[in-house]
Amino acid sequence: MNGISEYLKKIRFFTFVFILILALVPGSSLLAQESEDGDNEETEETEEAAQAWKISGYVESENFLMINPNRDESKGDKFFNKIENHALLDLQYGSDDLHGRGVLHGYVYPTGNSGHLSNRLLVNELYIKWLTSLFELKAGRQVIRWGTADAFNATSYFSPMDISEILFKDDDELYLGVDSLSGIVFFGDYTLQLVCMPIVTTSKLPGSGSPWEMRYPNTVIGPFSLPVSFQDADSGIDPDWKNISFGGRFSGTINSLDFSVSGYHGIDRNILLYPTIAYSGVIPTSISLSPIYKKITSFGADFAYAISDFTIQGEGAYSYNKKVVKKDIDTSVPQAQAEIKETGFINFSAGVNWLIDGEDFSVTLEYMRGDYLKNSDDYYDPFFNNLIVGSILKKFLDSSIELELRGMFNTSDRDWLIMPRAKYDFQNGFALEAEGGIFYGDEDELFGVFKSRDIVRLRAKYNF
Amino acid sequence: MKKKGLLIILIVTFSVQSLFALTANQIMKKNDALKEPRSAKSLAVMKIYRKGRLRETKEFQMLSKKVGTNTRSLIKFIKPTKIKFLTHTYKGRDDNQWLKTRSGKPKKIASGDKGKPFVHSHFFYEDLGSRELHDYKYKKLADGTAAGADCYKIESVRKRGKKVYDKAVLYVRKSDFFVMRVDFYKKGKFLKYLENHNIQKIKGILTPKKTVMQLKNGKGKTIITIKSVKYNIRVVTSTFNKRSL
Repeated sequence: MNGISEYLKKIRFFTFVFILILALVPGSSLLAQESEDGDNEETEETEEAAQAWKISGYVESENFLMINPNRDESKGDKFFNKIENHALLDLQYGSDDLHGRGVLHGYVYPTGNSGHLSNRLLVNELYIKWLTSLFELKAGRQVIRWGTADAFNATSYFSPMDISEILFKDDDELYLGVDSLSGIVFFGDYTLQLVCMPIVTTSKLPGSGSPWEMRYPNTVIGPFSLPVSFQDADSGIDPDWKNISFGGRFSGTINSLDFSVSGYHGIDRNILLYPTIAYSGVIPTSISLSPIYKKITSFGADFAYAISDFTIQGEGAYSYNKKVVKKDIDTSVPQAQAEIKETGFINFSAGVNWLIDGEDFSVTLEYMRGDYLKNSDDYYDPFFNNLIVGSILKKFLDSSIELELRGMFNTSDRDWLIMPRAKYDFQNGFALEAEGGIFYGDEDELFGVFKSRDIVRLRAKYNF
Repeated sequence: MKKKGLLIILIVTFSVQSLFALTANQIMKKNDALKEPRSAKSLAVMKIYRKGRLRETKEFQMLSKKVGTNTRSLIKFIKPTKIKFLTHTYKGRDDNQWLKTRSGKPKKIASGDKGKPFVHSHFFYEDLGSRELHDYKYKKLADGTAAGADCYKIESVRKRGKKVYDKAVLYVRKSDFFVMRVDFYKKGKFLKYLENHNIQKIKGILTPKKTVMQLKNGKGKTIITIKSVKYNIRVVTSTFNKRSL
């Protein structure tokens, strides 16, 4: 969710920044122009080193508190208080055209803390980039995000998401790098990108014991009402040659329209939760859900169009072989398990960014949905479906104060999540922020399942 | 006889002056004719002052290249936040712009209103955009001085496109037709002025190492200082493709 408005916080702030180039570098404006009398009077020319280290990043300290006094401890709710100290280090060595880059995350928690997380280091990106006038090559771990929508990208086939914590993760923590080879060929304003991912990285879901652990109501199979649990949150996928994934994307810009068409064959980024039924003899006793990974072939397209203060964007993807779990289980068969079927699937998202008062007041809206093309009632719905995502952002005092209200509304079940946020930016890289997450709905609904887990996050962050 | 001689000198002097006096359009054509570099790379710092206090400092690297009749520009904000901003500027139609945050994907963004402050500075977007010579009508005023230089004063009023200011008065240095100062008028009043300082010739290109935009009432100013600049460097055009951000 945090990624939804990541751009919008900055959009207007940096809109038209380009003009500085036109201004400070020659000719086109008032600030620098070439003399008529040639270049024989050069007085100064300075240049940064062609080969150089570039280091940037941030350090943040966050306190997460689940504060809902109505938490139900019999259902596993507990008072949750987590302090997370997180640093991101972005290192680059080389020229703009040829360099190596690494993006490292370090997480440190209070010593002796009994929480479910331990100190760790994550290398989310580590790649070599070579850019020429004809092509670009990137080899190594890299985040590959396709699509134009703000929140849900139907055509982003490669980089999986880390949603082990549902809320308050910035984009650089939310999207995982994949070990891959990427090549882009440039044809004027058009590009063709090809990606090969020999080993697949999988999305992360909340694990058992996590305050964000998935909880499901009992499921009825035949005459039995079975408890459901979630297992193996961190299970991965074998580095088998059969699992090599690849895709391509042709992109271009015509006037104010950006567009792409894309294709993909490989492991589905969206995890399939498979219910394994445990039996005592012939009597089913429980269900455990575990993530499994299946291949998919998808074709998609996206666009973005800017007009006046609006940017309209949309994308969609079609797959003829989406793997799905059939709801009904044949209880007449001893030790029966759920069947996995293949069906056509289409999903899309469309949205708009509206800069009402430039950088100081903006609104974004997005709608997404997915549909099975045949026998849709026979299968479990996609995890995310029929959602409206929105954000209203207002800044005051030259952007020192930011107030934002974000929300997600599930149009199918009418449950929702709202996230108010307040930030004070000291304009020197340091900022203080408070944000809340409030859930509403029934316990068997997407957001309702978290309704006893409302949360507040306090953050101090320094960018360098 | 002596008086007659003086008269002749005066007549000749006046004749020569009127023969070679430049019109406003000729002056601006000379300004416009100054050649542009094919590409440029620079590092700049922007300091924003309000009520006498330094409130914000921003640092950014700028890269630009002419591609045919269009300009492609990439700004990388280094401090306080790391953001890339890519612009393709076209003659005769709207620009295309994309933004990329440290972790985000390139995102198309709207052009918006050119009458708004640029990154909270005292520059408007209009102040910094490219100027098409024929989009304005010019009128020559009495000569003046700016930053210690003798200048032609030219009144400029936009006749095509969106009008942000009522008018601007440009101080064009007589020696080289470089614009030293601009006074901006809005809603019938003098609003602010821009002045170029520390002008150096780098590869033949007159470059102000310091540019100040100051409000007329003295309540604020923005100073842009170029820390380094290099012209006509080799920049691959694909650097300005949104896919390679």
